[in-house]
Amino acid sequence: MPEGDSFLPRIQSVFYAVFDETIGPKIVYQVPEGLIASQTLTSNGNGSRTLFNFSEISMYVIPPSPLCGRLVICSTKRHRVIGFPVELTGKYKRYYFRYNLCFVFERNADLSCYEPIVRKISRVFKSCEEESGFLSSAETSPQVHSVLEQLYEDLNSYSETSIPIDQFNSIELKIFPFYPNPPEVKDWMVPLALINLPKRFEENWDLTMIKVCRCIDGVNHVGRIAQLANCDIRLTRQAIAHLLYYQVIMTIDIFQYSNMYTLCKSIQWLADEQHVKDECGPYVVKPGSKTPPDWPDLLHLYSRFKIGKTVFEWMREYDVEQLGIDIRRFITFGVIKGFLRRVHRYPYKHSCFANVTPYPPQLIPFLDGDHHTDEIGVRFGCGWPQLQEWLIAIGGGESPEKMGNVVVICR
Amino acid sequence: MKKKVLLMGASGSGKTSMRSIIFSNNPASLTARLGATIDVEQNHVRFLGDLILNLWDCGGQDAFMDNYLTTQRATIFQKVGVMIYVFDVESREMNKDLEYYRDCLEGLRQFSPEAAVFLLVHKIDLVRQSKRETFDKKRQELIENSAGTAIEVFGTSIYDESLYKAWSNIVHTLIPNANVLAKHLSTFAQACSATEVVLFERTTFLVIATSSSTFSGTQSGLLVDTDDGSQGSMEPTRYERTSELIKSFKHSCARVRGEFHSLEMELWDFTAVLDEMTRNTYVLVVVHDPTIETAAVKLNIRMARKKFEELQGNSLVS
Amino acid sequence: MATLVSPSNNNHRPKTSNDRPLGQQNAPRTKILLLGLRRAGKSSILEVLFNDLPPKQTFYLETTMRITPRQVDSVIPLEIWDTPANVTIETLGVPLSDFATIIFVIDIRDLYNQPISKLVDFIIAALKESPNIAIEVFVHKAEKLQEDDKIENYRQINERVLDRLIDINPDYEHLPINFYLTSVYDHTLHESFSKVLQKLIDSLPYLEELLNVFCANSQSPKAFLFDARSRLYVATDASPVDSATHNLCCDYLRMLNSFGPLYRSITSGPVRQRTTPQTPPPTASSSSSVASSSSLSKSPMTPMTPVPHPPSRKHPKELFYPSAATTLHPATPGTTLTYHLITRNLALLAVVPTNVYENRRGLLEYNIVFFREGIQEICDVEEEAREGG
Repeated sequence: MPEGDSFLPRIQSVFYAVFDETIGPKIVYQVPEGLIASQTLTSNGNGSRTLFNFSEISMYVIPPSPLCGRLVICSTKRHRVIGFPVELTGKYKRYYFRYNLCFVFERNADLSCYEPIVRKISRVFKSCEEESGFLSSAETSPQVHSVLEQLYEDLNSYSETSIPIDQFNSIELKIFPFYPNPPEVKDWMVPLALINLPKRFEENWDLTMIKVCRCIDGVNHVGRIAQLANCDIRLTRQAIAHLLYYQVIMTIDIFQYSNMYTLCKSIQWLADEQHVKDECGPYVVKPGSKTPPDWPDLLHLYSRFKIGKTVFEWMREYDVEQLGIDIRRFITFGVIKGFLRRVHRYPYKHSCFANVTPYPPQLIPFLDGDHHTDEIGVRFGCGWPQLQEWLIAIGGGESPEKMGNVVVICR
Repeated sequence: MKKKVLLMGASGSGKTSMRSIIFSNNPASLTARLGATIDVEQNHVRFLGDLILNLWDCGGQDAFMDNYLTTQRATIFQKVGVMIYVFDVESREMNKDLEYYRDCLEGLRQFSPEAAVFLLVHKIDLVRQSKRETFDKKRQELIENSAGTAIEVFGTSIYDESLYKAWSNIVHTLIPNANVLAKHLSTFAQACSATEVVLFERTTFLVIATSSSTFSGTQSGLLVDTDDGSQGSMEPTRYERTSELIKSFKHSCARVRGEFHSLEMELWDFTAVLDEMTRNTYVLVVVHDPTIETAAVKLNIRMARKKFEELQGNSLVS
Repeated sequence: MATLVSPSNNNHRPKTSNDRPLGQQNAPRTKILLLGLRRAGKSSILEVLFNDLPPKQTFYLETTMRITPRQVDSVIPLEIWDTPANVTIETLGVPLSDFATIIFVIDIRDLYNQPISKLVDFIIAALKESPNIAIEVFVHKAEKLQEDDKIENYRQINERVLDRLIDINPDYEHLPINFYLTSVYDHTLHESFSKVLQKLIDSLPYLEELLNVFCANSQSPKAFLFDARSRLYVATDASPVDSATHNLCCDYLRMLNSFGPLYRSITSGPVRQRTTPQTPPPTASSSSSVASSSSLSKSPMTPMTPVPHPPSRKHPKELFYPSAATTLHPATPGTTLTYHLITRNLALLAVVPTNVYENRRGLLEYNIVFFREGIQEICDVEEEAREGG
């Protein structure tokens, strides 16, 4: 197995087929040779080496017109074949010219990363054919064989290739593993780098991307990054989404002393994980501080987070500052490892108390229990203490405990 | 009633082109735009109301032919009403063509021994020497390769009426009571003082029946003179020429978004009316008596309509 | 190769009474000169137009090796000179001023110097000899190119010829040179040649006027006077020619021409009595009664006013003229195409609403009788003038 991208499916065979005026669908070239039996050799004599018989799939390799110009994947008993059949019209003997370049994989392979590859090869071949008759002319068509050879070798070994075809066209391919689309980026999310981003900067990077990356420090939320980097908020969101797609950052919540956290079930097994035990101390300790507390002590502190208790209260109660711990990093560590979870506050208003106390009137629609305080805070540029006062005013209450018509749901 | 019609022959012999001309009303000039048929293209053509032709246009490439004869053998050859096998007159691989043809005959014998077999020696327009001689030679060769199966051979070209001649003969065998229709047409002709009455199918304009007895399915192709003298030595290919002329005029009408409806002519030699007979037929009445007016002929057609609707209804119940 | 198209080759009944007398063969013919490079399509054009050669067959035509004049009897007697590519003004043998028109045929793919130079040379020589000669350029074989390239090449050829002429003499800018995009595979050749032919007919304004009167009185939106055999239209009414209608009429005529011989029966013998008049043709006196009756019915369709002075006819009058009509659906409210032979060569093709054709056919036929008389008279005068001169 080639080293490196071993998670990419391996190409078993690559072949090029056309519709021949007298023979019908036929494989012109295949690499490696002879793996796919052509239909004239129907005997099963040396069936051990061949993958399958071409006639089993020829209907989908050179299909009727409605399937042309589309990605077509078909399966045999043990293999999957992916191709992009093309039909061109012009000065051909039978008016139409049909061809297809297909890759063969194991039946259970995930082909999603090969879809763009197949489309692109087909696109390049099409323009070569339209410009110079590359595929249909007898002089140039034998070159297809060497193209197949290089595709097979390079894509399997290096996951990328560059094949010059003629003066104007070349096939430039790189296989990217296929990632799912990232979740929608919200302005109150706080991006946190998982790798050293500035080290990866290259000259040809997008300018916005570089500016955005410089502001990613695990503290700034997306809205603030846009401000600091002086970038359009939509472009900033896109840049963050891009980084998320490649899984080089993750997003956490905005840190405030008024936040509440709670442990997740996963603590049951994460607490015994060596990497959690080893990394926690060095990560959370303040620079220049003495040796951090032992893991059991730290774990004890984590276990004291609960709904209804703010970080500030927790900090006071256990005198955390004395331990030389950076509280933000302490919490962030738990969130990154996935055993600590933020408990959000969702303000909900029963009915409007007609009060003239100054609060932004646009705030009212957000008090429907669907928006948490991070979102509202980012939108109106305020911290929890300020927001709390407004909520008391709106609810006609008198204290944080008695907000009148407004209740705060914690979850 | 559904009849399965197999359209077979080597690749590029002209199967799809003729299907396009006869059943899709395309002009011959557009056939260059038709691509090769991939595998089998099936379609249903409603012909004469209740008679449905189930056309199987079978792509003639070797890969497909091999499949028809092996894995798809039963599917292809069972319940066949008619097999039409097309040979390119200029084929360079006649031996291979004949081998496939014999194999197909064998398949037919196995699954549909009752099927009628028609052979078309196609693209006869390309022959530069004597067409008749070439045709006769081909015909002999095909008979020898048919191992006793009853066949009919036609020489055809999409550029003239010969295609209509052949197809008219083919569909004639599919119409159960063509002879009854012919008998009534003769009666109708007498009533109109007409020299000749011809019944055409509406969409294809193929000849279904004529008032004279000369039209039959036993003649072989355009090169055989069907003239028996009883029709005053009229042009022997007149029916097929009429089909061809009307079809091409219909196409001209379609280009101005009109639909051809009827035609009447008073020419030097004859008077003729072409009009709807039934929902799916057209009738051509040719009169040589100069005292007969077109209006009278039209009136007769109108009066005969009901009877012919009935006749057709009966014919297709069977 | 046929150089003479005799009237007996005609599709129509050979022995009609107004066949031109033999003497007419010697009447002066209007001459057209056809020029162009080898394989530009000159002979093909003539064969397709005047010998009904199927366009596909033109491929097999042999190269014309020497100057070949062909006589064509259309509405006026023509003599069209087919030439080999190497012909020059000197080798032509006759002065250029003998010709009324030069048609230069150029392959649409020939954007090069040679054909354009040759054309320009001829134009200049012709203008020196006879300043009034009509110069027509057929940019031919249009079917060889795709739609966009076709227009582009046509425009380029057009531009290059004019640029070259202006280079030689700025006065040439306003030369009346006409360009046509033609192909034997569609109707463009017929339409273009029709326009060329019309310029040569001295009596064209009178023919057109008669057609205008016919259309106005018969509720016909469009009518053509066709040369029946070549399917060139020699005149039409004043409404603009829409190619689709023209093409349909052309196809209709071709169908009728082909139908004629199909059901001709030798044993039935000649059936139409053509020379013994049984009833007198409608005259001015009888028409007035019809006219009054129709005005009572307040019909929008009116009979044409008969030709004022009784015609002194050179040929005995026919009683029977072939006619035909075809009805098209569903073009609302339904359209009928009528066909009426007018003279031995000419046929009237008119587009008539179906309800008019069905309800007032008598009146329509009546109008056609007078239209025919008018046209025949014009043709007779034309013929006399030609023979006399």
